[in-house]
Amino acid sequence: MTPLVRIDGLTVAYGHRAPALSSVSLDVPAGQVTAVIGESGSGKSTLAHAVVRLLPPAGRVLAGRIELSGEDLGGRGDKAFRALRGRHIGFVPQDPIASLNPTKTVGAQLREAFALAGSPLTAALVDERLRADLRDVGFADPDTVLAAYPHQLSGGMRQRVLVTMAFSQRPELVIADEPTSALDVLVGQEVLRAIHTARARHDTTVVLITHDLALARRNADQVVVLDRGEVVESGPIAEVFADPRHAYTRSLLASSPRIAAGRVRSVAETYRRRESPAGDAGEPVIELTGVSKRFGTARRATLAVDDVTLSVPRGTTFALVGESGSGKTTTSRLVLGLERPDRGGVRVLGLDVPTLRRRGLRALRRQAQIVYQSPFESLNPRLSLRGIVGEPLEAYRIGTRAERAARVADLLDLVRLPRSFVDRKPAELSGGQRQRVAIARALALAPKLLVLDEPVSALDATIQAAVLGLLVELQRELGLTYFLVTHDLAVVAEVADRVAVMRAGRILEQGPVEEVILRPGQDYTRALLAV
Amino acid sequence: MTEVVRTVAAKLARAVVVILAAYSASFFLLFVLPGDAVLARIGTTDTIGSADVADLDLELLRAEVGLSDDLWTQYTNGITGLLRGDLGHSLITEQPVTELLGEVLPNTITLTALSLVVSVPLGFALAVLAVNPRSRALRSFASLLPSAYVSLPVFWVGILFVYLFSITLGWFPSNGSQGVASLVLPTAVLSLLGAAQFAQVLISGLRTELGSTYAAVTAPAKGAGRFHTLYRHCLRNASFPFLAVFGLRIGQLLGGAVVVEMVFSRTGLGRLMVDSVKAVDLTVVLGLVVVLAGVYVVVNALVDVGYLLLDPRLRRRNVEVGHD
Amino acid sequence: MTDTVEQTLAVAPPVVGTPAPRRRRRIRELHVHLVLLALLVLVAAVPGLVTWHDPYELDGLPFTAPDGEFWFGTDEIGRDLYSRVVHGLRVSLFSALLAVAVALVGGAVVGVLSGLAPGGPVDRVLGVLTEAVMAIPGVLLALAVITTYGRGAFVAAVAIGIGEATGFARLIRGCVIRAGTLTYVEAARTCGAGPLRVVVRHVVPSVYHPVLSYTALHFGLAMLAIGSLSYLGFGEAPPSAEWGVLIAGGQKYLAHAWWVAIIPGLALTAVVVLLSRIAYLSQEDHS
Repeated sequence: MTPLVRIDGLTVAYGHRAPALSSVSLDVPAGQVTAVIGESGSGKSTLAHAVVRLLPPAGRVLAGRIELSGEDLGGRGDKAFRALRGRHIGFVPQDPIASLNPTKTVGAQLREAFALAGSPLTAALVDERLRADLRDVGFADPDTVLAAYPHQLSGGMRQRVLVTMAFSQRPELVIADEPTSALDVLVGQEVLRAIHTARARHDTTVVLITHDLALARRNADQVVVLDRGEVVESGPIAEVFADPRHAYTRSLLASSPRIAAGRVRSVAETYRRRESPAGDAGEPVIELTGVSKRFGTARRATLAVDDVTLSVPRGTTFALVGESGSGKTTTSRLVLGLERPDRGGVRVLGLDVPTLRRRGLRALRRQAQIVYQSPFESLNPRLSLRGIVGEPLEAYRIGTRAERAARVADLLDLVRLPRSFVDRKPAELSGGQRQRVAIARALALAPKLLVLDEPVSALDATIQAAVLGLLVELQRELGLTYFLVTHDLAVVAEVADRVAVMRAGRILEQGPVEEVILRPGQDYTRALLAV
Repeated sequence: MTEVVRTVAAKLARAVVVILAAYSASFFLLFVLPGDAVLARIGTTDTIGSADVADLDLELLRAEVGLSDDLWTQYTNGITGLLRGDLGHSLITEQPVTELLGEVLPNTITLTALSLVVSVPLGFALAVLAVNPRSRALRSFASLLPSAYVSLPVFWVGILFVYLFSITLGWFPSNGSQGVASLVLPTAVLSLLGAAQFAQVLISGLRTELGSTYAAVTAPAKGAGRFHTLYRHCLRNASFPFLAVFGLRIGQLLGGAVVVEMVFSRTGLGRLMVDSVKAVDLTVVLGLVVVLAGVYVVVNALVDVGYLLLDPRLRRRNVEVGHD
Repeated sequence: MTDTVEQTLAVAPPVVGTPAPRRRRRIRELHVHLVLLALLVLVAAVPGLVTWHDPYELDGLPFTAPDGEFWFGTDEIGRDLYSRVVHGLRVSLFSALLAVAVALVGGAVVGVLSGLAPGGPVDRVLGVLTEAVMAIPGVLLALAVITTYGRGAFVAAVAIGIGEATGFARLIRGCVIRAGTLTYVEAARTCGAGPLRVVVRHVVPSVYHPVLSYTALHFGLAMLAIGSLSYLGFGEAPPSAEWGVLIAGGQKYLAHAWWVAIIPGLALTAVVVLLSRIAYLSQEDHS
């Protein structure tokens, strides 16, 4: 079969920096789904934007040719190229929140696609077709959607609107640039289902850009693996995943927690063989009883945490799993006294947290620390690692200057960072290195409890595995107790002892990790696992 | 809709509070701090000159102008007068302040309104020039122009215009307030100032909008050209921050009008203000300040309400959209 | 609560700063401008360094056009305009400095007080007060202050400062509120850092750049405002060489000696442009 898109020797660079894509060649077979996978910085989004000629202003195509149905697109001027967009190439952008004009109705923006493509349909026919298309992507009431403004729709709905828009002119090719990465997993599935329905109905060729290997495996026929701007491997997805030839693909496959979720059974096996954690003795480190927390004004309150009861034994890892808005982060903040509960008891390390005032909280945080989700935000960009990691020591006036310096060096050793980094600032470190710095800071006071708020979700897959591995080792070395908050059951399977599944502020079920994962008692948990 | 009504009511209530606060602050400034305005008047005004203070009956003077009452009585009288629309009498000419204002306000309002009418479209035109054309030189020229113009002293620009268009070219009169021709130069100076300020806000607004995903990716992916994206999407969205700033700039424009009126020797608020300050005519100064603060507050309240009605993002949050 | 933010952050690419060469060029340009400003301050402090005529002596014939001897020409009674402009810089520059200092200190007090507890009673009262002062055009507010305290460069500067303080208050309030939501500020608190430490080490450095840039910009605007007041006759009195006074004095002779009014205005414009350029450059210079 002749490919619909053929890319040959494509090289793209931003400004004067090293090329983001160097001499990339690939074929996209007609009528199939081709996944382009890679981690951040691999150039996969650059590739997507280069094909539709929508690179950011600094981006330049330095060499190579892009063919669509045998035509060299480089031969088209900007105006002639514009005629391709919409009609022959559809595009689903990454971030549904910013991708719709906030001050125009969804209907106006969808109809605009017809006007721009010079569609001969009358207004009534356009609306009829839009209604049918919106029903296809899962909207039961298309008229409400057409009349709505973007902010009145959820992220998943907006992304399905953008899918409708991309397919509306029945293009031969649709490029979806990380269409689900900004969405919760279950919502992301709906979006993928929408893309599948639309593509099956109109026999469209799809290029799916993603960092998520499991998603690629389930949705694509062909795969192209990008690493630092170069194609390292490509072919039918079953072949590549079953028998990865390139070392990078192998490490990607080995480290992806999502793929690990597919191996949950074997993971659970290792749990059984592992001796049961040393905990259980004495008082639990964390004990929440009937805790509720409400946010907002009296008129418009939302119950973020609703009657939550749980307990965490010493030396174990407790995972709280849920999607965004489930109340898991609020629960973790209640544990550290960053929020006060409206009702219920919070006992942490023998302290009655809600009653603590400044001195009490200081005492609590001497022993309980937090690692935040985004190391890009949780580290002061103006301080060096010396200042960041040493801050708790200075704040608690521990040791002399020299002793503190020695302790900072030890902490960097502990999180596997070179000692020479102590004068660097966060901007000079990668995401994974920054998260190690955040962990070092949290360990500075030698706490007994660490609250881990989505500690790896801002990181690439290979780096996720390394950071999780570090956390597991540290727990073994230092006898730490972890309270882990995450949306990712694969992460749970890898590190947790007990797990609680949370939705809309309530705990749906909890128990030992192998029980919950192997015999989920709730539909919701099953849905999360199925992802 | 009730939500809109409630918000509008809240805005209006706040507007009233702000006007009262502005009055109180100015009253405090003018009447309480100096201690004795009559002495200040004798000390500084040119009308009395170097007359011997001892020859004057200070008490009589104070009683004449109502300054011998205690401050609280003066303040409450002022407030109740304000609520009735009475701003008191001039300490010098004893004319009612409202009457004095009535004489000069039409001139100033004509000048300001005319400048606004010119400056808004001019500001939009400059902003579009600063982001749209292919020529990089033209774009940077159009985006530099506004920030350069706001660095110019407005009174000096007035003088420059007089020198160029009145003295050298002889096209327009250099001063006076008679006839349409006398309006041209002051309007030009003031509307250029307004246009420059508006363009600055619009340019940064347009740049933000053009850089956001819906304009940089979604619209072109549908086949829209740069022109289409700019006019159909960005211009409207960039007008919202512009609208917010528009209200704030009214005050500066009125302040500019005062100065411009003086440059071109026009009768108006500026002349009245300057004369009253020179004569230490406290009630007139207070009246002027309150009236201009009122104009500012009312314009801003209207802008806020307009914002609320025009920007769909501020409307109801969620609609129920069923799906299977 | 943080869950929505979580989502967007999860996909946000690492922050890419301005490309290094461009940033270096910008910093170099900023330094050149700062050196120019320092030279101006020096000249303002010791004007005799660059002038050779006395600004108050009648050294030439009235209305001598600019030439090699009198660079900017002479005024109506034959004083050297160049020397007057140079000497006038001191009043203009230092009045504006005073105005900005008043605005910065006043604005910081109000902004920090209201930003610490946004929506609280203190914030609401200060908010109405700020808005009330904002409602009065700056020139008018200054004129009201001058009505009670009399004319003069000092009073004019303080008066302008009061008006400008409202903008500083709003900016600083916003910065303080934003700093309260920064994750690394919360992280410092959970690390046991006390309020003073959090403010000194984390909050102040994060507001430093926007406030510095705003200060530079309003330094220039204060010069313009003070010039306006002098022009209206409420700042320095003749025979002072303050620039507003020079321009007002020259306006009468525009028809046969344009330079007397136009050249001081050019000088004022040049200084204001320099300051707003510094504001622009320091705003973009994130560390």
